[in-house]
Amino acid sequence: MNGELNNRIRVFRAEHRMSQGELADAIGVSRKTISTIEVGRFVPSTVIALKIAHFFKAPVEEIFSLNTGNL
Amino acid sequence: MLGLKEESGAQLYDRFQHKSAISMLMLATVYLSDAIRPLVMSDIADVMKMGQLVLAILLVINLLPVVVKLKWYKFKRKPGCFDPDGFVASSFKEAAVKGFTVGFIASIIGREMARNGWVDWPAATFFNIILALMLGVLSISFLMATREDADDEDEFGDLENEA
Repeated sequence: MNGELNNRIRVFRAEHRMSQGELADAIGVSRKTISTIEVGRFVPSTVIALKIAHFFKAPVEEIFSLNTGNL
Repeated sequence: MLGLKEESGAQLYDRFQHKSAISMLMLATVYLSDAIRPLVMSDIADVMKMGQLVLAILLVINLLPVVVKLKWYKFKRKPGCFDPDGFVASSFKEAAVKGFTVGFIASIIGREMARNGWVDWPAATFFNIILALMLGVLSISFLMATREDADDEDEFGDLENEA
C-alpha cells in the first residue's frame, strides 16, 4: 500500500461484484491501472479518482483517504 | 468469434504499450549490433547482419497486428477510451525520462571521447551506441515497472467478506 494514500476500491468492487477488468472498462482505463492503484503502487490522477468515485456513486473521500499517520 | 470475449480498449492499449517496449528492445539490439559490426571480423559481421534482418522482421511481426487492431478500434469506437494518465502511460513517461538521461550522458561522454581523440570511431558508431542505450534503458525500465506480480489479481468472488 502507498505510504500516503489509502483506498477502498477492492471493497467497492466486491460490493458491486466487479472484476478489475470490468471496472477498468467502465471508467476507460487499463486493468493494470486499477490493480496498481488498489495495491498502492500507483497514485491515480484526480480525473481517474473522480471517475472511480462517480462510477460507484460515492464521494471520492469515501474511496480514497490520506494516511494521516504520515502527516 | 469462436466464443472469445472481445478485447476492451483498455486491455488493447496495455498490450500495445507492452509490445512497443519489446519492439524498442529489439531495435536497441539492432542499433547495438550495427555499432559493433565494423569492429568485428567479416564472417561475424555477416552473421550479425543476418541477425539484424531477422530482428527487423520479428519487430514488424510483433508490432504490426496490434497497431492495426488499435487503429481499427479507434476507427470503430469513440476516442478517449484509452488510458492517457494511467499506470502504463505514467510508467512509459518515467522510462522515457530515464532513456533520455542515459542518452544525454552517453552523448557527453562520446563528445569528450571524440574531442580528445581517445577512439577513432565513425560518427555513425557513436549514434548507434547512443540510440541503443536510450532505447534499451527505456524499454527495460518500462518492462520492469509494468511486469506482472503477485498483487496483480483480477478476482472479486473472495472479497465479499471484506465489504
